[in-house]
Amino acid sequence: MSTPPIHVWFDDGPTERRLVFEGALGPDGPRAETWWRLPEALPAPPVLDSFVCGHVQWAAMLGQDLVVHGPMSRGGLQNIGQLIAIRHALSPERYRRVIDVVPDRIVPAPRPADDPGVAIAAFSGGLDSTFTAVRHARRLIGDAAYRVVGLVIVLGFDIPLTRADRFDDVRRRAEPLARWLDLPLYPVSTNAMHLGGRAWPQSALPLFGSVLANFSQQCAVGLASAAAPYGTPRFGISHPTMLDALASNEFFTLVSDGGAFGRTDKIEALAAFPEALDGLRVCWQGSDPASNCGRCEKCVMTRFNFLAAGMADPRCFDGPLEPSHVAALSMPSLERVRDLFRTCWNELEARGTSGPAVELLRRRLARVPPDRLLAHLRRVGGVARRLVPARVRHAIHHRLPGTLRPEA
Amino acid sequence: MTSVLTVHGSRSVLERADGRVSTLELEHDGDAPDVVDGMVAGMLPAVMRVGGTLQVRGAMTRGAVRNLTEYAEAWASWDPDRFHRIRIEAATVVDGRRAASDHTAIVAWSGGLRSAHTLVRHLDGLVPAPFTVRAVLHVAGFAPDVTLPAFDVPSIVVRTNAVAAGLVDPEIGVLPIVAAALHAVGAGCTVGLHARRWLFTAQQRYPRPEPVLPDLLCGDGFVVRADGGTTSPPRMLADVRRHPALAAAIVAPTRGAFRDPIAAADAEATLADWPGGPGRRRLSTRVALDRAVTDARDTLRWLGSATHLRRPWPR
Repeated sequence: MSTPPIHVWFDDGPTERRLVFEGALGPDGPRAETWWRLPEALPAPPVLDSFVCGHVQWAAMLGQDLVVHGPMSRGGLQNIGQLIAIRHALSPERYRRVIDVVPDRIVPAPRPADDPGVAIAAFSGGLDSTFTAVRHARRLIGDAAYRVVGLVIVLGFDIPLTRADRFDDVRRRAEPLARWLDLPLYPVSTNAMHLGGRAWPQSALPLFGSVLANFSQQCAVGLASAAAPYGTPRFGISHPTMLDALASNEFFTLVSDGGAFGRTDKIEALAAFPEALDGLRVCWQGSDPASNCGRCEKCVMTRFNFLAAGMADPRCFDGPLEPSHVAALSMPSLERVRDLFRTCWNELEARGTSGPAVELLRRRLARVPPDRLLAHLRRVGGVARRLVPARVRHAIHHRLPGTLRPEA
Repeated sequence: MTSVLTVHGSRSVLERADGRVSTLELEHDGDAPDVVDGMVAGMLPAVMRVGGTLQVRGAMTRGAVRNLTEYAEAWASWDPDRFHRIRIEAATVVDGRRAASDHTAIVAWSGGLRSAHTLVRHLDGLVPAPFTVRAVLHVAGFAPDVTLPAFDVPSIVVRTNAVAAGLVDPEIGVLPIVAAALHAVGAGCTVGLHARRWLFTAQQRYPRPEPVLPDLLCGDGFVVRADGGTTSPPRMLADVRRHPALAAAIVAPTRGAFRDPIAAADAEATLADWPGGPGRRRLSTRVALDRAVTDARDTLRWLGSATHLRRPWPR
């Protein structure tokens, strides 16, 4: 018996849009919905392509076709078909089959003849989105820049809906940059992570596209920052630019920008603009989403990027990088330190950066055990745990030097 | 450092910053388009080798300026020892031109299995929302020359001097020239399709065949799209066999046709007894030889990447 499809309905309100999904299997079903809350009344796009595209990877994980009760464009359907076919080819265990998306009507969705071709940009306050916003708004690439007319900051992605109180702090931190760029900052909240987010990070850009598409009657292009650079040796684990482009459709083009630049390249490009770098927010793990803790892996990596760019004490952190920050990083296996190699070490080495923190990083990276050795040790440990009685294991554990014993 | 590109109809002349002059010709019966996006795409690899600024004496769409700038940035990021970022300055930048959404396409056909499959899957509707194929384009001037079969749709031939002029970049291949030909012909379509030359699964092995780029050889009025990359060669052949005349015209693919050794071997085995194919006995010897050469080349390439690109990648 074939798997029943998920039926999708669209509900358009003045400042809130919803997609309702009926018939999903598993914990998400049988009825669920995704909503987008907008800062002001915005006309809906003529096709549902962008909203549906944010959820197709989730449906492919469930192996269920989507029956869309609303209009879609042929261009959007073509792109979605390619996206699913490629994701299935890359990860058949995750995306179980190439699902079909069947709208009840297919309509042409051309842009108006007098469309100005302006863009709206997603903005999180991080390095990547700041780079994208500044290089287009300040036209650092000359004629190749889009005319950006606004920035969109989202509650519900990296800042969870439960931290709405802190979202205001994040917004306040982003406002000086928006003022400097002379662009309005639009806050949008969404619960799209609940369904579409199951395929995160692969669904990241399609979900950003679903947010930006709310502005598509004014803006033909949505700009979002790219994830891994083109030169990344591994393909497909995150959201490569080529696959992100498939979240576009006839009416709205999603462009992921900056894929040809490393993080240090981006800092170097922004070095002349302290207004851009002073308000950076890169931290995901600190207690306050509005500031950078300075100690987590992401913060330390960014500090190294600044160091490689010749800035030892950037103002977006409380103090300079210390060897103690590097000493506190967890480096259990090569798998876990891949980002440190890619976004830090390679760029430090390429620029010949030196110093006590760099030297400590080099020594620590050199000692990271290979994944295979670690997997082997874990397997041996697992076998030992099954073979040795618990009482004996506890006795050995208590006799090991430095073991904390519970109070009697 | 400034290179200058001048376009005269179907002929463009590039005066490179290093003093060399190259001429690209794309001869066909139709009129030249009013923007020179395609010619810039065709000449781009030659400019990326020297870097600097490219001054274009002609009109370009803004989308083409942006896309081709990113194309150069992407290759510079992939292989910084060979390619450089460039800045494009066109005499006129055209705004507000968007490709109309009539969903029709012209398909580039080389005589190989991949491009035949791209054609068939849109003609027969084997993909979601297939394009309506209005014409087939063949670019003559790349070896080997093929005989065009009788397609169900009109065919157009563009003759180029790109190989003789040294404009086919050994790293990037013929794609920019094919894209330029698609732009030049257009055939009343808004989309030009070409076959992707590797399977996506090949991108999961290291070293990867090449960077995975979105469709960047496009302007605002005409889009050049890569197609395929998810179908195995035996499946492609089964699909192409629905059109006997087209299937008979397929030139047996060599290893170069797929930039993925596994897919290439798969395709060769599939086409061993095909007319013009190598035959099974010759194939096994050739596959063994090819495998040795490919392994040696990949090892050298890996060593090159590891040392030149300074990527002490843990895997």
